[in-house]
Parts: sequence; structure tokens; C-alpha cells
Amino acid sequence: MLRLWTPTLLSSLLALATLGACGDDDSDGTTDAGFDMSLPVDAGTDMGSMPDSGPGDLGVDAAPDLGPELAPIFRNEVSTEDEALALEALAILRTLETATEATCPGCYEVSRANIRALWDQTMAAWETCFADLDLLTPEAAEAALECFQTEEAYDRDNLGVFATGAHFEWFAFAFRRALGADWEDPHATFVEDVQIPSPPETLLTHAEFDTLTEWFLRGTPFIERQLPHLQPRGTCETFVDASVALMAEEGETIGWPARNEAAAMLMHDCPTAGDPLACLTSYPEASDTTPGTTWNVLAGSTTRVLFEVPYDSSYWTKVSPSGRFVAHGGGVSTGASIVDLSRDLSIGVDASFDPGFFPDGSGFMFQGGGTKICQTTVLTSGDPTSLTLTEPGCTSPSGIGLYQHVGASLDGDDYWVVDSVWDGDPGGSNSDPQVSEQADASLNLYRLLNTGSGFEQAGEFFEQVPFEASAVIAPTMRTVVTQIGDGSGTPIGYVLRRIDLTRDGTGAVTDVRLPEVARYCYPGGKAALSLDDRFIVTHHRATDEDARDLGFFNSDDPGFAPYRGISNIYLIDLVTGERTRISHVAPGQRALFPSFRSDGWIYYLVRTGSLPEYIVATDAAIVAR
Amino acid sequence: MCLAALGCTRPVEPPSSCGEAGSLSAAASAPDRRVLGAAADYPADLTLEGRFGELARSQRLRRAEAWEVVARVLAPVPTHEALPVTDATVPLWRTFYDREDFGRIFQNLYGGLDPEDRTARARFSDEQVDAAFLWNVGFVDGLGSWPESRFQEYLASLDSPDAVSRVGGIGRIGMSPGMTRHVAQSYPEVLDCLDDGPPDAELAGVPREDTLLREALSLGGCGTGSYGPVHVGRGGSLHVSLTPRTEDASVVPPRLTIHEGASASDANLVCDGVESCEVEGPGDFFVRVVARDSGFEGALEIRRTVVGAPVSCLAGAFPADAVSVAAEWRRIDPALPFPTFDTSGDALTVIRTTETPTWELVQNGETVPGEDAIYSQRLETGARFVLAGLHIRTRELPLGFNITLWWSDEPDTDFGADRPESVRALGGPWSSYKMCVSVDHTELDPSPDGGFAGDAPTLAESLSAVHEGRGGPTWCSNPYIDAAPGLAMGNCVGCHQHGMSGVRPGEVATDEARFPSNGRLPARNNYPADGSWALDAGDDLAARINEVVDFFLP
Repeated sequence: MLRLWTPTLLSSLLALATLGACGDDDSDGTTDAGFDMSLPVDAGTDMGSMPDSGPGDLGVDAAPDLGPELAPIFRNEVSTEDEALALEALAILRTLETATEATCPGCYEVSRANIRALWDQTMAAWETCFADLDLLTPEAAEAALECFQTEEAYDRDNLGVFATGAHFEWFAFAFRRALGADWEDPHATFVEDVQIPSPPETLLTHAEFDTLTEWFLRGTPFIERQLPHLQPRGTCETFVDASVALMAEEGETIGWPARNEAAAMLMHDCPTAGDPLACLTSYPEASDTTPGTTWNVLAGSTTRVLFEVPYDSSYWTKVSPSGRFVAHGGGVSTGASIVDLSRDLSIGVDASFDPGFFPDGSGFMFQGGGTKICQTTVLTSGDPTSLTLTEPGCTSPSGIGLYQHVGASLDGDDYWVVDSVWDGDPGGSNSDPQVSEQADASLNLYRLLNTGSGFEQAGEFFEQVPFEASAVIAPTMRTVVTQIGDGSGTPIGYVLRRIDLTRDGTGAVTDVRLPEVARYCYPGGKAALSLDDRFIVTHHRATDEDARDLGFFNSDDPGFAPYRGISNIYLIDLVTGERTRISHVAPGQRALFPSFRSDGWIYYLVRTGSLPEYIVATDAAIVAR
Repeated sequence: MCLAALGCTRPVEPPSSCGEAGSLSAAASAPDRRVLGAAADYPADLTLEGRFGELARSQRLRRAEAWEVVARVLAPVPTHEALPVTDATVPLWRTFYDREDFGRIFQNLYGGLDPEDRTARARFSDEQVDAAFLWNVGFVDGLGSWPESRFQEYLASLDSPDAVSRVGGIGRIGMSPGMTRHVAQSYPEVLDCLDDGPPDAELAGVPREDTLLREALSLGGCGTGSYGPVHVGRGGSLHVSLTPRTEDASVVPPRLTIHEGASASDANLVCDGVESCEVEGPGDFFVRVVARDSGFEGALEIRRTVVGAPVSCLAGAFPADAVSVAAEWRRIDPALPFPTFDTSGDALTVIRTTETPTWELVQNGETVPGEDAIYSQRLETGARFVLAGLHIRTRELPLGFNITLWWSDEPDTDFGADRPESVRALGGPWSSYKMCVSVDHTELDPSPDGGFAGDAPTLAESLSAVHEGRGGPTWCSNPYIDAAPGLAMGNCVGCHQHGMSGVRPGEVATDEARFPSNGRLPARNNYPADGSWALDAGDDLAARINEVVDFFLP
């Protein structure tokens, strides 16, 4: 199965380590060491033909004609296909799990959450402690040894899964090079402190080490297939796979923010391209307004009030990628409106609700009297004050239901429409919308084939997702987010699924999989994803569980009572899984329907119980990055 | 259970009219622009305009010249960046600017004005536009998402002809530098048109000055350059000027002369100048530049004053080297059969005798064109797109030289039977495309078969099938592009007259009461956008201009 993401980070990292060949049986002939051992050296032995030469006596006590001691091979690259590699690596991990039960309980627990934690450690170690595998100088070796320590003690967390190879010769070499003749005792201490597993358990062979580290360096591919995340209905355990981190990293360069910047998208009220923190300064800070004195909460961030809405909005509010237009149901005398912030006015729209903007700024859609899709030029080619959505540049496609979300393919290829069960959220409730938990729930994906001159539906795929609902597709179309409930419909978490496409030789998609790659256990409303796949933002109505977070001792605190049912905005970092509250509204107020513009600013709506409503923006996601 | 549709479709209009409406924008990205470099100038043939009557009266001559335009538009040009593929080239039109390029260029120009000039809607100088073109090539270098290492990796990935074809993406509209410059410099008129609404269909003639040509000139010692002849009407004038690239006192300015007639000699010399020369019409005039020993590096500009219908939404008519292309890319996929069309005389008779015809009437099969038989590109996902058709519109003629190419599995019959060596010599897939052309609303060639009965009988039959008599409407239509109802009996010229007039492309071929003969006849005496749909359909450049101006409002 092909993945939509390309592990550019790993590619570059692995490219750094394609030197040498060691003849390992599982090896494709490349190794992670600083020298090409297959080259003839003056040692009298063909190093390139030595099996498992990594842990051998390479360089140790070298004869004088060998010259300066060279670093032994650290690890060999493995060419096994991703899925088979996952199978082998997980088998190794399971032996480690058993072997470390007594000495390091939980360290090698074979769970998605723990493997992600190990991956974080591993990648951090790879980029720091193991960035220089040659260790040509004592100083370089000393730096590596220092990197293995926390507060002058060797710390296996600093080595990630490389700790499973602490007994290999490369580490001994590092100690010799750094410490000279006095290397043996510190090395023994190191091994004792970090070695996984601890004696008398059987240590990994170099081939096993190669396999395990290879899988981690590739980003633990196929973990979702080989280690499905199985949880009983009504429960939620947070985990985030490595692939999410890789996707987010890739999103920085290939996501819509980067694409839109390359297309010179004009970000609303930004005097300097590429400097989002300098944007929107012409609007008042919320703290300077009467209703918004408490709204900004994240240190270093700014919340600004962009527009006073003189009517009752209906259902979602969405911002255009440029941040110039904000759309929602409701209006002074029309069913829906688009606020043009550049002109500081509201454009009446003949529609009802559920607006959406394409992430490349090409157009927008509305529901009501059928689906209407219009080019953005309908808004920008003149100074419209009302729209019927029958203007030139508008179409009425069939087959797109309510509660839709819009994205656009990053690679100029096909688009996908996703169906799921959902529950509406008009925003007026004191509690988060229910999750329709159905045992036979599925995500249905419809392929919209890019014909070159438009899109045609061609192909349908579905995946069973029991008890998941309210699916939202990412603007990049690389992921889908659903919600899960506690068994009675109360939302308790978000499930992130990657869209994996399998193609034939013509590029046609033959299969689609939606593996679960993360779970974020927080209550809330419908999710909105950032245009670079880094964040989810949502709103959540306060319950007793939120009392402490809102500054009260507990929910019995009399001061908390008026806060029940208020709604605040929450930012979830898809990479770390951490959630941050980024607003603090007063009793009687609700912050609702957040969405991202291209540069990371979040727009949302604040209702105060009477008109006007407020369109508000915060740079919290930019600050939090 | 409520079903929700999540996801998307692009705001794509129904099958386009006139070839420029409705686009799927997978525009050339900033890195691709650096790969391609500044768009290549189209080498306009200034003599064509003087032969307009001749071309209008002869289908044979018209087609012969149209094939030469095709050869110029398809001519291979090297990429700006060296690629792993030895001597990598792309067809000239693939270097043209797309809507993203235009957006960046215009933003750079307008953003560079001071507030007073913005308020005054000051026009951009040629030098400012030149600088913006160059800035656009290097724009990618300033993007944090494109460090040099990533760009070099991208270059390295362009290691096959297939990969090189991918540069520029599957964007629909491309504009030559001459056209891009003119649209950008016309922004005050574009804004006026947006503010005031479309002009009336009938307007009195006014004096106006059009830039016919502005091009870089590089002459060695004693080198010469010749242009024309250029036709100047009664009451009009011709103004030629030279602008050196640098103020270098050691460089002696070249001799600039204008001669009456079709060649240069002392006997017909009517103006002998240094930096500029001007003559009054009427007449045909030939321009000659002779460098001194020191040579010359700079720009030549030829401007002409005429009395005619105003071009309300532009700063005069487009220059001769203004070219727009509209590419019809089709996906090759099992779910999308690639149709083939019959364009024989019999098939066109069916088209002609059907009210509001479509090309589906004469679809005669489906195929999967071979890699070598059609110009194609493959996305990194493996998806293959082929160039099914290409509209080409140059401004070498008063109503545009309107040419369209379409792929055929029988490329050497009817509209491909007279393909000249200049096109065949381009090699690759270019001999698989057929061509038709129109230069006027009405057909002035009295011969139904265009004079091809003897040497290209299948072409003669097809032309005869759509010949509606001398003075009847002309015909030219592309099976892959002109898919909307009625457009199978279109002629390009009739539709394009309505650009920026408030009429939508889709109306032209179907509203018989307002636009008879499927919209092929003249319906107004002035063309607000000089026959281009680029401003208010297709790429909607007027909207882009307005958006940028709004952005910079104080």
C-alpha cells in the first residue's frame, strides 16, 4: 500500500548513513558508519565480506599498519519491505517486552503509545547523539558520550531503541576514542545503565538490532496494520503514531500554507508576506474591548476582534484561506452571509448554512437549496453586496450532502468525498454535540477523478469504523478525523485516520485504507484541521471536568457555576497530542466554530447572549508551534 | 442516520466555451518558474497584418500561415535551469505565464507603487515590468519551504523526458510575455471597467495608440534588425523608439530608419533617426535598425496610432506578440475513456445540419494513445495526462489569429492532411494533431474546399462541409475543447469578441436570438478586451487585479 506522505525526514537521515557495506545477510549493502569497509584497507582482511561485521573486532587493537582506528559499523541498513519489516520488528519488540518486564517495566511495552514514545527518543538520539557516527576525533566521541547522559548519568531514554545495541563494538569504540586508556570502567557503567535487555536476558544480535532500528528510522511503518489499536467502546487512550509527526513535518513544506505562500496568496491584513505574527494589527486586541477582556489566554499570543456581526449566525462559521472572507448561515435579510473583512461589510448570500472554502483559495461552497460551489472571483471581481450563488462562476453539483468539508489534493490528483454519520451543532446548546455511535458505522470515500478539465466521480471505497462519527477531512486530503463517544453519545475523543491509497501502474487508485494513526482523548465539537496537518482546533462546552482548568478549585466552587455550558476554543497538537485552551470567555459567552486560515491564524465566533456576535482571531497556533 | 458528504470538488464551470472559460488550476508552481526561467517571447510575424485581406480570402494561405504559427508556438526552447536530461527543452508555450505567475507579477508591481501612485492608478513602466518578470523567476528562492537543497533535489528528479514534461503542471491558460505585460500595464483600464460596467456594444471610433511590439534587441557591431512591413491607416502614425539597456557613453546609438514599402532602401527612406523615428500614415512601413561598431543592447518599441473602436478595458490593443494558449489536458484512466472524433466531411455535415450540435455526435471510438503519439505528462502519483487540444490565439491579425489543435488517431487526414514540414520536423507527437483556423467572422474564400481538392481531398471535403458560402460565417472548432452545446459550429472569433462585455461564454453559442449562427457573427463594433477571455473568464485576471488593489487599500 502506498502512503500519501513521503518520509522526507527519514530519506534525508538515511541518506546520511549510506556508507559502507558489511555483507550482513539482511543488509542491502549499506551501513551506518563513516567509512566504506568494502574498500580495500591495509588490514589483510576483506572487511566487506565479513558477515555481521558490525559487532566484530573491527579496529580494536588494530595493528600498526591499519593506521588510526576507524569507527566500527554502527548499524546496517535493511532493505526488507515495510510490512515485513514491521512484522519482524514487532516480534523483536515482543521479546524485549518480556525480557524487560522485571528490569524496566513498561519500557518496551508493545503498544502504539509506547512505540511512539520510543520513536521520539530514537529520532532525537539519531539526530543528536548519533549524528556523527565516524567519531574521528576525541572531541566528537566525548560529545556523543555526553549526549548519552542526563545530569552526568547515562540515561537510556537518550538512546531510544539504540540502547538495545549498547553492547556492540561501536559504543566501546566511542568510549576508547573519548577516554583513551581509561575507557573500560566508564563503558561498563554505560552498558550496565542503559543496556536493553539487562543480563541475563539474551541480547539482540546485530541483525536484530539492524531490523529494529531500521523500522524505527523508517517511522514505524505499518504499525497500524500489525498492531491495531483495539479499545473497548466508550473508552479512549491517547496515542500518536510516528507517521503523524512525519506527516506534520512534511506539511510544513508541502502543505497548503507553503503552497499558498508560493502562489503569493494575499493574507488579509498582513503587511509582510511570511510574517504571520505581524498580521491583523489594524484590529483591536480583544483585551481592549468590553466583551473580550478575558478572551486571550495563551502567553505570547494575541486575540483580536475583527468584526461585529449584527445578526444571529446559524451553524458553522468558516474562514477563507486568505483570512479575508468569513462565512456562516444567517444574515440581516438573507439565509447566509459572507463577511468581507477588507471592505468591513457583510455580503448577503442566498443559502442556508455549512459554508466551506477550498484551501487553495479557488472557491467556496454553501448549502441550502442544494449545494452551491462558486469561484472566489465571484467575491473579488467587483464589490458585491449580495450573492444569489447563480452568478457566473457558480455551479450546483449534485451528490454532496450537508455537513460537508472541503479539501484539495496537494499533488494535482484526485479528490475524495467522505461520508459518515454526523450530528449537527447549531452552537446554542450547553453541551457538546452528541456522537452517533453506531456499530455498523463506516466511512465511505468517493473518488472524484481529476479529468484534467474537471472532476468526475469514479469509484467508491468504504471502511468500517464502528462507533465513530462526524468525520472531517483535512484540507490536504491526507487524513480524516472522526469522533468517538462514551457509549451514551457524549464525545470523549478524536480518531485520526490517514488516507492511504494503492495505485496501479497507470496511477489509478485500486484500494483505499484508512488506518487509525492517532487518538486524542478530549471532548469537544467538530474538529477543524490546520492547512498543514499540524493542529486540530475545536470548541468545547465546559462541564464539571473543566472546573480546575478554568481556575477553580473544583466544580463545587460556587464561582464555577456560571461557567457550566460556556464554550471555549481548544487547540490539539496532532504531533504531541497535547491540548491547549486558547480562549477564556466570560459566563454567558460562547466561543464557537474555530477554523484555520492558511498562515495559522484561527478565526472563531463569540456569542455573548445578545447581538452583536463577534468574529475573533487568535495567533495561538502560530505561537504554540 | 444522516449521511454527510465531506470533501470537495473544485469550482469548475461546465464544459468551456471559447476555450478559456473553466479551468482546472494546477498552475505552474514557483519552483517550476525557476526551472523554466522567464517566459520565452513569441516571435511574432509583423508582416501578417498587412496580409490580412489575403488570408481572409484564402483558406489555403490562412492554413499555411497558421501551421507556421503552430511551429513557432511549439518550437523547443531550453529550460532555464540545467537538468539531468541532456539538452532538456520544452515547447515554447509551456514557458508562458499562468495565473499564479500573473498574480505574483502583478502583486510585485502594484505593491511596489507608492500610495500616491496607487491612488492615481499610475501605469507600470516597461522597465518595472521587466524587473517583475525577473523577480518572479527567483521568487522561489525567498520561500522558507524551498531551501536551495530542496530545489536542487527537485532539479535532480527531472531526470527523464516524462519528468520534464511535468514542469508547469496541467494549468490550462498560458500567456506570452507580450500579453502578460499588456494586461498588467492595463490595470487602470481593467479597474475602470469593473467600476463602470461593460461598455456599450456600439461605440464611436477614437484615436488610440497601440504597442505593436516591444522586444529585447541585441546587435553586435554593425548588426542589423528589420521589422515589418507594418500597415498604418489614414490618420494614423507609426512611432519607433530604441532604449539602451545601460547609459554607456562609449556606445554610439544605432541608426534607426523607416522606409515606405516592404523593404529598406535609400530610395524609400521616410525617417532617419537615432533613438526614435515617427511617420504618418497611410502606408506600409518597414523598420530597420543598424548598430554602429559598438553594437547595441536594449529594447525596441514600435507603436502605432489608429482611429478605431476603443479597447475599453485595456490600454489599447494587444501587441502582435501577445499570445494566449488554452491547453486541454485529459486524464488517461480506466474510468475515463479517451474519445476519438471523426472530422471528415461526412461527420461535419452531421454537425452542420444539427441544431445546437455537440461533438458527441461524431465521436467514433475510444482509445489509449501511446506515449509517443501524444504530448503527455505523468504526475508523481503515476497519473497520466495527455494534451488533447490546444487553442492558440496570437494578436498578429486584427481579430486575432485563432488556431486550434486537436489530437487524432488518424492524424494525416482532413485537418492534418496539409501539415507542413516545419511542424513535422518538430518530431515527437506533434504530427498527431490536426488544426483549424479562423481570422474573421465571415468567410471570404469563395472556394468551399479552400483549394485543397487536388492535393488534400479529405481536407477539401471537410472544409466544404462547413463552408456556408462567401460571406457566411467562418468555422473552426475543437472536438476536445469546444464541448459545450453549439460550439461544434463555432469559429472562435465570434465568441472572443465578448470578453469583458458582460456576456458569458456559455451564452454565445446557444442564444440564437442575440447571437445568430451560433455566435459566429459580429455582435458589437468594439472588443472591450481585444478578444481575450483572460480577464473575466478562464483565469479571471480582472478579479485577481481587483483583489490585489483591494489588499493595498489604505
